[in-house]
Order: sequence, then C-alpha cells, then structure tokens
Amino acid sequence: MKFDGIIFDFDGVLLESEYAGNAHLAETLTALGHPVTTEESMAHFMGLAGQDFLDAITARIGHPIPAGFADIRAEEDRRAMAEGIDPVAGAIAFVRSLPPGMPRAIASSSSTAWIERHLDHMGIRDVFGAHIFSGREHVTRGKPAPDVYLHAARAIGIDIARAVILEDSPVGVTGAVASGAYVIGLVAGQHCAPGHAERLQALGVQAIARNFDEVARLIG
Amino acid sequence: MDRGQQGDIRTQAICLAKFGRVMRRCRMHQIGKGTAGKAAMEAVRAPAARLRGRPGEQQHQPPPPRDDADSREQRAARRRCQRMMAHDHPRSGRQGSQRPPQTVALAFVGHEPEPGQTEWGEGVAARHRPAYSGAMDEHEAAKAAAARLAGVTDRIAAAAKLARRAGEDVALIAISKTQPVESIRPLIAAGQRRFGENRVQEAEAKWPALRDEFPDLELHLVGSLQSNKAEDAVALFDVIHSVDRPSLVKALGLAMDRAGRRPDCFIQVNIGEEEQKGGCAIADLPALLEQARAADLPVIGLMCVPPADLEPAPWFALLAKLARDHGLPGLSMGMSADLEAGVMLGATQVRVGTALFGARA
Repeated sequence: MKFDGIIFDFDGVLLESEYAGNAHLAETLTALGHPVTTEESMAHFMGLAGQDFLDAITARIGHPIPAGFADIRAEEDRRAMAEGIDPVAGAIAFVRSLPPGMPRAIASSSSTAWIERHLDHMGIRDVFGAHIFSGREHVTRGKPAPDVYLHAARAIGIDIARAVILEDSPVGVTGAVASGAYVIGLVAGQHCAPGHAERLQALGVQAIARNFDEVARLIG
Repeated sequence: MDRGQQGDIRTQAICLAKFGRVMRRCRMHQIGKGTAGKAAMEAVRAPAARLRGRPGEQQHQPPPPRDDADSREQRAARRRCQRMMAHDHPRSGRQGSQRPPQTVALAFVGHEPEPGQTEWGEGVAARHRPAYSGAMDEHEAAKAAAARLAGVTDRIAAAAKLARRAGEDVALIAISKTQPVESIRPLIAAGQRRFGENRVQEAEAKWPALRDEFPDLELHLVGSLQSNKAEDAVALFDVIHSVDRPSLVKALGLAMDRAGRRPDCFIQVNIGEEEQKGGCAIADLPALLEQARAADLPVIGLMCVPPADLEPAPWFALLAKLARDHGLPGLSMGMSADLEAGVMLGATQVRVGTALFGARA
C-alpha cells in the first residue's frame, strides 16, 4: 500500500445520491407541469444550493418555483433517509477490501446524521467507526477549503501528505488538492457526465479512476 | 504567533512542498535526465499547460496519459523532485506554466465587401486589414477586449458560485505590464478600471495621462519595488502588492509620511520558499507585519506567486491560513491559469494578464 490512509468524500463517491437527487428533481418538476430530464437536471442544477439553486430552476422552466415544490423535496429527503439510496457501483466491496489496519475516514459536506444513516443502509458503518467528519460540523470552513480533510487526517493519525483522497466534485477536488494529499478524481457515479474527468484534471487531481477497480490498482 | 504555531505552518509548508503536486516536476526530471534540458522542458510544458486549462473548457486534445500506479522508480523520482524543490529553481517567472492565450475570433462587421469579394471571413479580413481605417481597428479591438474581459469575469463568477461566494467580492486586476497604451484603452472602454504594473518607471510613462482622462482608474503595483523608488510608487499607485522586506517598509513609511498619501499594501510572501523569488520568508512574516503596522502602512492582506509548474491550490490554502492567523482580510492570489483555484480558496484580488491581453510578445 503506497498510502498511510484513505479519505472518502461521501455523496457521489460512495452513495449515488447526486444521481438519485437529480432523478427525483426531474420527476418532481415534470409532475408539476415542467418537463425536465434527469440529464438536464444534472447539467443545470447540480452543485448549486440555496437561492442559486432556486434561481437556476426558475430560469430553466421559465416559471416561478411551483407551489408544493418545497414540500415534495422535504418528503423525498425523509424517504431517502428512511429507505436508503443505491451505493455507487463497487463501493461496498471496495471499502470491505481495505486492509484491516488501514486508517480510513469520510470527509463530507453533508451532515453526520445523513452519512451515518446511509452507511447503515449500505451495511458498512462498522468500516468507518467514529471517523466520519462533516464540513458543517467539525470545521469552521467547509469545502472548498481543505480544512475537513486536514481534520480527518489528524483524527485518524496520518500525515496528509501520505493520504489518498477520493473525490468526485469540482468543489471537493479543489479542497482535496489544496490539502496536499494525493487526490483521485472518481468518476464512477452515474452523475458524472462526459467531460467530468477532464474538469477534475484541470483542477489538479493526480489521477482519474472510472470505477473502484481502477482505484484499487492506483492505491495498490 | 507563538513558536508552536510557526512550527505548524512550517511543517505544513514543507509537507505541501514535498507532496503537494510534484508529479509534473517528476516527469520533467525524468524526461530531462540525459537529454537537452530545454527541449525536455518544452515537452513537459505542453501537457502541463493543457492540464491547467480552465474547468469546463473544451479540451481539444486528449489529456496526457496518466500513470495507473506509482512505480518504485516514480517514487524515487518524486524524492529527487523534492530535492529539486529545495535546491534548484531554474526559472523566475510563471510565464512558462501559463495557459496558452485564448483565441478570440475577430468578428468582421460593418463594411461592405469590395468589388470581386464574394464571401466574408477571417481570411478576407486578414488580407485586407492594412487598408482599413483606424476606427475599424479600434472597433474590433474594443470588441475583442470586451469578449476577453467577459470571459474572465465569467470564470471568476463561476468559481465564486461554487465556493458560495459573491463574484463581486473578487477584484479583477488587469496586469498591463509591457502592454502599450493602445492595448490598454480597449479594456478601459470595456469597463475595466483596476490595472496592475510591474515597474514604477513603465507605469509613470503610461498612466498619468490615462488617469487624467479616467479619474476612477485604480492602479496596483504588483512587481518588486526598490526602496529608492518608494516615493515614486507612493505618489502613483493606489495599492502596493509587493511589500516584502524591512528596508522597503521603512522607505514606504517615510514616503507615505512625506506625501500624506497612504496606498493600501499587501505583504508578499515567498510561499514556496524559492531562492529566486521575491517575498518575505514565512518565518519572517510576523516581524515584518509588526514593523509595517508600526510604520503606519495600511496592510490589508497577503500576496503570493506560487511555484511554477506545481499545482497552486496548496500554496493558496497556506497563504489563506497565514492571512487568517494574522487577521488580514485580503488575499492577492491567482492569475490567468489558476484564478479558479485562487477564487475558490478565498482570493479577494486576482491578477490577470494573459487572459485579458493575450500572450505577451
């Protein structure tokens, strides 16, 4: 093993939540009378939050946010938490194959409650133990600042320069590269459109992996 | 800052220098070994420049092959690179690593075809350009400048949005060093007001007349400053980004007292601890800052030029940390090739030349 430890982003790396979220968003808008495909949703709304997100929807459908939209979204969040979301292909087998003594952590922008619940659904919570870190809860500055990765590396007792990070989003990659770790841009999730790998390369990832088999080879 | 904190920062700097982003340097080293150095450097720069393309930009050429795994030899090369990092800094500027200039298509509008011409196009425009009036050239130059400016402000806005920042919080400084006034005017016409120069003398020749014409211009000094030019710099510039040593702090303090004019200042940090680069050493920053504040220099932030050919993000993150540790709100970091990383990691000022003016002749 070339690295002393491994740090995972969560949504889009272990959990297909980006794709699931956009599929539901497209369904919702379509049902409310504004036909949108999952692909369009990913192209136009992914990575946005708060007012930017709502503005992008308004601009795309050429109509104010439909009545009932927020309620449907909140209900979907509750359903996702209760029932779970598909893992990224190969993710569960990969984390189960990590050498037993190898330090590992999750460093995510999501809440620890979200991460823990979905790790439970996937049946891999034991793999990470208490090493689940949220950019909202454990540090003052979330991604794209490198702080949550540095915090995770410290917490699992490794030098960030000897760590490998798996990331899928431009914001996460920027922070991961800034931390000084070896960064693999993982484009295994269904949300990764053509050109995504090149975008991550432009932001400085050391390697691209199209699936977890490639990750295993890169860190082997 | 206490000794422990300083130690932490030094450790982080060394760790970043060691592993931050040395693969390119490694490739350079491997290719350069036993071959003509210059040719090897060129061979490496081309893919490096491509890699540094902006996010989302159409990549016309396939990305360079990626190593599937680090072999023992590559790791040895990386260690050799660390030694290079420590002892060998062959180049002084970042031009080598800057993205190739963006091609801006010049629209051909506003004139009737000459007899015998059957189609419009860049080829026609190019063949006949010398015959066109100055007004036509001005019009085209203004359009091209406006397009380049819009391209850069779009890049800033996109990166700021990803980082949940407002694009307006990032000041764009157009670096006009070596650019003649006729290249600067189209950008002013397009609405750009902040400009940066490297040398006092060059700026004195170009800017006083323009400032009379456009009183709202803001002039930044981004190049190294000799103490004997401090008085001229204080008289001409609104912001000085390159305060980096005690003698200069003293000279600027005196010059500001005499002139009764106090341009905002950034302390330039030699973030990669490179021998040939300007900027104060990280370890010397607290003392220099204290001296600058005692001399009444309005220090508003830190500035850096990270090592060429390495991924800039770790250095930007380190500069941001230093600024936070010292309670400084300003961060002058990010240029044409890496402004996205700068903005995402907190830049309040980006210094852009090539992407606004094209490559320097």
